[in-house]
Amino acid sequence: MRDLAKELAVTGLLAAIAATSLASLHMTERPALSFQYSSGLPFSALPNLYAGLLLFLCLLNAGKAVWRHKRENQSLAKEKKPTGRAVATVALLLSFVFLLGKAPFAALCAVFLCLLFLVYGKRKPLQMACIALGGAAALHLVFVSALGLRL
Amino acid sequence: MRIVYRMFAVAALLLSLPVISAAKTDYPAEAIHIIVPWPAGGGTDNIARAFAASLESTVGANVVVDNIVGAGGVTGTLQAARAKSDGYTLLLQGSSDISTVMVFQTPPFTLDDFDFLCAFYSTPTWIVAHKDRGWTDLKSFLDAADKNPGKLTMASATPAGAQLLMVAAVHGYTGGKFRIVPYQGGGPFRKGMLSNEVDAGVVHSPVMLPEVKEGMMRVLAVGSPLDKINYEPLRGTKTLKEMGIPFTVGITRGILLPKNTPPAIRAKLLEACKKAASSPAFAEFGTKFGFNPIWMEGPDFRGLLDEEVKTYREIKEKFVDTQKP
Amino acid sequence: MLNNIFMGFEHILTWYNMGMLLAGTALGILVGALPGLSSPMAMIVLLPLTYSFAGLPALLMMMGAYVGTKLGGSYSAILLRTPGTPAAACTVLDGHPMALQGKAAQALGYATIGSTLGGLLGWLAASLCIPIIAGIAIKSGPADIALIGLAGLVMVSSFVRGSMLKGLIGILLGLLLSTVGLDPQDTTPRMTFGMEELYGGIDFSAALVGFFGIAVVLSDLHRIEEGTARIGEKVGLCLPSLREMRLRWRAIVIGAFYGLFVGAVPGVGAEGSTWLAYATIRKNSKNPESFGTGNPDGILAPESSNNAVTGGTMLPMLTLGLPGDGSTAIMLGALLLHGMTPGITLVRESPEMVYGLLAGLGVAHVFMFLLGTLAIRPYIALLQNDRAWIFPFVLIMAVVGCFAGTNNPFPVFLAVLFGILGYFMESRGFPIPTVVLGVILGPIIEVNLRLALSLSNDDWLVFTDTWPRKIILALILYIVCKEIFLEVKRMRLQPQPNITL
Repeated sequence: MRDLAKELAVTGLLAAIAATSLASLHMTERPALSFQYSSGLPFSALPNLYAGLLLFLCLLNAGKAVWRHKRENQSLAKEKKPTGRAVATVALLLSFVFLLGKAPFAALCAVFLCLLFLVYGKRKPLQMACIALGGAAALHLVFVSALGLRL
Repeated sequence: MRIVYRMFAVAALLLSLPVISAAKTDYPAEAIHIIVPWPAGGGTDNIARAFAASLESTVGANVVVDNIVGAGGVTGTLQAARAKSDGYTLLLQGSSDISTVMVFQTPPFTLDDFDFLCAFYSTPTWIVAHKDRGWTDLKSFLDAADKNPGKLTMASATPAGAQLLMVAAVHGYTGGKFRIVPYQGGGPFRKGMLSNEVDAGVVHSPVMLPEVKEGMMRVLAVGSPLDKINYEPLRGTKTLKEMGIPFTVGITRGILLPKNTPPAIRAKLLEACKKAASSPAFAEFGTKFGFNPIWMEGPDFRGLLDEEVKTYREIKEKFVDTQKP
Repeated sequence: MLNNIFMGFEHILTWYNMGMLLAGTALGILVGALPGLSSPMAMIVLLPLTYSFAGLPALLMMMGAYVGTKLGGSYSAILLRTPGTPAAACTVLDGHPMALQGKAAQALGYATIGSTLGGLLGWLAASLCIPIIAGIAIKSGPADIALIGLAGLVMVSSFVRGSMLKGLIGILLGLLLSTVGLDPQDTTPRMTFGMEELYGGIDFSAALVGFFGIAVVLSDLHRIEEGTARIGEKVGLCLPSLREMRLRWRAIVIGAFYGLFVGAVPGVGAEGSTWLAYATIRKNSKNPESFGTGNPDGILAPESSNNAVTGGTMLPMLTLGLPGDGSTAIMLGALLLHGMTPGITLVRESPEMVYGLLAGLGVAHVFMFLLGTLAIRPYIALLQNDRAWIFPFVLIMAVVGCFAGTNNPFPVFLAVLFGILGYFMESRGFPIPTVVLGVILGPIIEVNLRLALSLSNDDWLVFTDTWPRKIILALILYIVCKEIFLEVKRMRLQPQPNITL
């Protein structure tokens, strides 16, 4: 059951993307320029096609998953690993991106590398600090010194 | 693995040594960034980089080009508008680019958000055609279009912009018997012209100048006088005005600063830019690229742009907004 | 023709030039291997440097970098499952499984030799048949480009593991994402929800970093405990033997063929050609099911293809001034900066420049081979470590690389979002390469489709006008029908009703 729920959730998410696109396109009636070029395809032609097909196929996929679940009652997918690490990773990444440019780059990198090491199970502080600092130094060299990014 | 740890430790130590920051005494004390709202490798980018190289020697600091692309130049321009007015962020912009943005979109900035420093580049927009098509000038093209309505095509290098406005103006003022085909920029446009896919095309000069010199392309008409293009035989080409189409199109580019830049810094920058624009190196680049550098001071530059926004708006309302299929 | 090439060689064979070429190639391999940094980025970094150097050495350096990234991208594709460049996306299919089997060194060896041989073959063919390649570049119209792009996309969907239905969903998602932004023809905002940041569309590096970088790391987090010694045996020479290469010549040649010709068509590039090559070699193989599990041909064909593309893109750039992809466009810019206008004028006035650069392309591949082979062992040593150390670096580099490419934090947020979406999709068996390729090939297909219709005055028959178009269209239809048929057959074998598409 859990397996089916997950399948439906992801498929549903994709279907929602498709539906939102269709709605958004529908609400944009006039082209920005009333200038009609000689081509027959208006701005909404291809996106509508893609979104429509996507929605259709998502529904098909959902149907297939439900049918398969009715036929075979065992879960086919492998055991889901704990997602705690994934959530922590995403949270850290988002904060990193948010802080880019607001804090000195090398320091930021060092801190986040350390935190990620922690999340991934490393526990020896000296080892972590060495690699984080060294890594941050290298990253600084590449991105700030060599590439000249304003960070 | 131990060795690797040691290496990392050494590197970390080296970097943690107190960095002696450059004493911020005089401008410029650090690198100057020129924001170019267009992709690297394109015509505008090249001009910007050539200018940046000349500026480096006259201003006494590193000059770096940042390509910040998006939304027809809005993303980069916006970033420049919001940058600190400390003289370290410059924007390469100009007529037809920013004027188009003001007219075709409602950007989150206005011309007043900028301090116009100078302009150093100005070329007209022209209509070119592959020699195999056989048109000798715009009139012959229009005559053929009249005889075969709906068959001939004129391309615009961009779907919205000065180039499109020029095509629309020609189309509108002459009864429009040809079709308009938009391309997605100079690169695809060049390919389309070289492949002879369209009957004629509008683009900012000096794009296509080498092909014109070789005789592969012909210039049918220009948007403004060709005296800034250093190729004598073209000097006689008719402008749109001379042909009865009251529209002047050209492109003038220069440097913009975020507004409220301190006057001392601005003056220093202005002088450095003037020297850079008149430097032999930049002039040489211009010759090879196909144009003569010009010099226009800020107020004139701003005046030109105000004028343009007005004209573009007129043409857009007349020929672009009311166009029916 | 040969005279010119010899003249080109003569011109560039100085210590200084060769040094620049070598440095460029090394830089290219390095940049290519780092997830988040792509080939055009390496070019942009080198661009200001070209001002300090004379034209020829500067361009040689850029060319070396261009060639190097094609190999470097494969290294991270094979070892980390994150292609360093989109051109290496196809190599993941068989490259990574082979690495997981403990044969990482061999996989990298195949990639190196495939890239070198394919690149040299493409280079040779391009140099000897300049008029043909240039002709393709000029004569290919928007209809051709749209069809080739579509063919590449169809290939992607049919050759990733997993159900075809999910593959199609992935493609459509990618295509849909590629339409976000201002409409290319009439500038109507499409699905931008009032956000100006989206007006320019979804940056391809956001999709690349998100789906290929972040999503992959998230999906592979469970491997942290498994920190396996992926290199089982101590390998002496990682490169395949001559005898083996003699047997696998077809993969190289087919790859080079697609790379060269698709590369010559402006706009499509290695993202399309690698999939076409992979599809063809798989179809003609004795055991197609082995593809996707570590078949060496599955590495050789795409690698050969993505390096042969360099011949196809450089040639029209040098002789016509028409760049075939983003990186060559920047090289074109560099030439312009040095006052040289590639095209007929340059060929006539400075042929030594044109042929010198062309000769340089060949030498670059030799250097790439040497450097690549030398890099295999250190690279594996570096990445053999616990993934807990490596993943944080991959994530940070990918994120900063994306920022570096766009100078704007918004695409990076998008990348993280895509990472999450990709993670969920992958957990349910949706093949991720399809989404990225959809994002990359989508605009090419749409813009050219509409341009073709614009030129032909809305005549859809323009897509069947010439023989090449008829062939490509037939190929597309054949593949689609065949895959639907096979999928239906697969479903029949399981106790399920017949759900036809």
